[in-house]
Amino acid sequence: MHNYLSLLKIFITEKFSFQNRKRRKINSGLGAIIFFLVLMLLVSVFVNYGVLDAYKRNNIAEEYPVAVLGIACSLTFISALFRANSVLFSLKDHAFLTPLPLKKSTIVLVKLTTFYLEEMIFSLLVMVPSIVFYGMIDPTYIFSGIVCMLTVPLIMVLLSIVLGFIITLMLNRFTAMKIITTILYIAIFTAYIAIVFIISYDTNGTQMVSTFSYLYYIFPFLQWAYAAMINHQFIYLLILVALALVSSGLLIALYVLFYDKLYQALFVQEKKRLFKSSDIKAQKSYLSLIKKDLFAILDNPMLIIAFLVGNIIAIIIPISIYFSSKSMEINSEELILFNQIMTLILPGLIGMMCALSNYTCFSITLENNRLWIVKSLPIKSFDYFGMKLIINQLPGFIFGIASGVISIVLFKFDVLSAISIIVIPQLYILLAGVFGLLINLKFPKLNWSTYNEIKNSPSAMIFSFSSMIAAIILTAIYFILGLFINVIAAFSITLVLLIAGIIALFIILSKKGKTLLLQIEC
Amino acid sequence: MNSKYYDKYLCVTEKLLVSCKVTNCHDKLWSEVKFMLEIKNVSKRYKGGAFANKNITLEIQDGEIFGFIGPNGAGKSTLIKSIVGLHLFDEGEISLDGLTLKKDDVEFKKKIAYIPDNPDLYENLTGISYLNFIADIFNISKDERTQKIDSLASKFEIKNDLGNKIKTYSHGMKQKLSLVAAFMHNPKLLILDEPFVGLDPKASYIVKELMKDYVSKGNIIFFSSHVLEVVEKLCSHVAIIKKGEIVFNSKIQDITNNESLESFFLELTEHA
Repeated sequence: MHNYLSLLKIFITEKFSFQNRKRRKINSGLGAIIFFLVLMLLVSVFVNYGVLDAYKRNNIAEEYPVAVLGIACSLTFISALFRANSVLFSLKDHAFLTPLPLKKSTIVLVKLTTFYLEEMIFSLLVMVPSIVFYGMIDPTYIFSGIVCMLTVPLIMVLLSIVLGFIITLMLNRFTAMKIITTILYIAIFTAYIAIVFIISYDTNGTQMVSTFSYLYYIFPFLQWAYAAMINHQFIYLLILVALALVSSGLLIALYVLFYDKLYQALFVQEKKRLFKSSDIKAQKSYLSLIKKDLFAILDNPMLIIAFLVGNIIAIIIPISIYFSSKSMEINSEELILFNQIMTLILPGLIGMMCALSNYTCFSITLENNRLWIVKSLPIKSFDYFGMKLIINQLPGFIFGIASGVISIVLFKFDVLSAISIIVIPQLYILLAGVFGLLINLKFPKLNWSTYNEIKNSPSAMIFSFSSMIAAIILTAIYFILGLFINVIAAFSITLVLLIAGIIALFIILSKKGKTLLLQIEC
Repeated sequence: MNSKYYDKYLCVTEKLLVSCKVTNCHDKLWSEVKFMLEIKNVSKRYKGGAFANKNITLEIQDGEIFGFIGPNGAGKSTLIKSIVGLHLFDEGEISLDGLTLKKDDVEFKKKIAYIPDNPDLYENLTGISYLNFIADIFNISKDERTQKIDSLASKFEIKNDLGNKIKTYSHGMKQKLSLVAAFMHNPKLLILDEPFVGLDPKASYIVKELMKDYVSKGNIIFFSSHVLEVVEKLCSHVAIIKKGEIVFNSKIQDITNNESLESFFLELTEHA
């Protein structure tokens, strides 16, 4: 027990960088994490309140807890599946922990506990406000909601671990394992979203209001949670708890039993490749810099996914809104109004999603302890920053324009709206790119060893929240001006705001960027 | 500084001046000397306010191997990192061939190469990709880089490993790869922080020979090491740093005529 607690303390401290003595305030990690969590909780509170209100107006309030649990499950499943390999089966951890006089069961238990606690964050953020709001309507939900919030994510985490391990084991013998894994994860993510949408349509082809209420088609045990939450059949809560405990125990037992064999199977000797003189190639220095960063991204499937998820969602959004609108019973006048609203909302929404798939906010962090290389080389700081901005802009350019074209076709945009949905997202991605770079220069975290630490780094968190807020404000301005004055005024003012923001940030980058880079000690 | 050792320091450093006065060439000699690397009054403070480097002044001429030694935590790496532009320094100036680091950092860095004590390289790149990257940054032509890589990698016996990812390399191999990368663009100034750590005896020998050959062409090597025997054998000049301050700076013969560098270093750092 003592060993378990000591190791758990080390793991949690390491995960959240609680004891980073440098830059104690925001860069300590803890401050940024708390700041981000509080803000996300506030967002969750508003969204939960809005959704419950909508459900009440549609007289389907009893479906609300089910939908919330569905969202929590989906987030936990996707996140845990993507992270299981790098967090649980890290060979570096194995090499560090194995020589220590610790029982394998202790190591496994600590790893799983830490992983579960990390993944619980989604459930807490999504479900705590729902327990409060819906608990006021149906007090029995407080108990069933809490039990479901603790047990269902645990089952999802266990499922993800098994699936993640099978994927790793199947793919780790391929030379391009990381690329294949990334493509597979993106395919799983896209397929999951698609399946969730497909199962939310009834037999008449009409989409049900609560999209996530039908997840039990994928995860049958969710029916027990529904029975407990909606029908107050609390016996199913006991069954859920038993299922969570038995499956955890089984997984821990198997993990401990096959601990050595598991790591042996995961360890693959890097293939040797003979050097050929044709490998010597000359390139322009900026291309070489871009290539270096792309290799660093490609080396980590989680980074590619983080880099692409927002962009993929930007494509999914107009398509899903279009099909949802098809299932609504609205007349031609309402359809015109709906399309007009879409022309005013989509530019900001697409821009936000593409901008959230940001690279610059962790591009300096990604240099890790190797920042000394670029700092000691004769590279102009503006070339270095420019290269990072180009990498950031490229996926947004492709996905943003693709999403814009899809929106133009589906919602029959006029010329000005078509220009706005192409131009506004691109400018917003650029604005967010420069902002992300400045934030990362101010709050770099060079001593990371896993993707998780990059994701939890202060700059990534500050960026995510700030860019989201900025996009919401910008969309609101564009929407209000477009609706109450006209689209020309909305487009002009938004354009001026974006260009002014970009120029201002570029001025700051040119004046302070180099100094900030030099101030990073490595 | 303890008066006994301060006297010794004065005695050693003034030998040059005395000999110049005897030959009546003091003023002429100093005005004609061309200092390639000049570190003038460089100071750097830690965040708490204590000095990491205090008012450091060093002048290093063409063709010198300059040994920079000191106890752990004395400020060696801090100064080295300031010279290569990894750290900002609070006061002073560093210049090379008239190019100042603060004003002309890119041009300054074109003339230098740096090898840290623990070379963290781009692990996901192959050895050859890393060398291509460095050569691209220095704009080295394909023919020149082919010839350099061929000769240097063969010398360090890592040519066959260049196709493999750096993450498969041992510490010594990474050190060798850094050395190949450092010598590729013929830098005027080579800065080495503990260059022999992790190298096998043959590679150490090759590095020493390369260093001698390199300075014979009028270049400079500024290197720090805890292996004082190597410093004694290789260096023409030596500076000793303690608690952020230079406590000794002179030609190596001025010490080794009387005693070993090791005993001089120990006396100076223990008592000063």
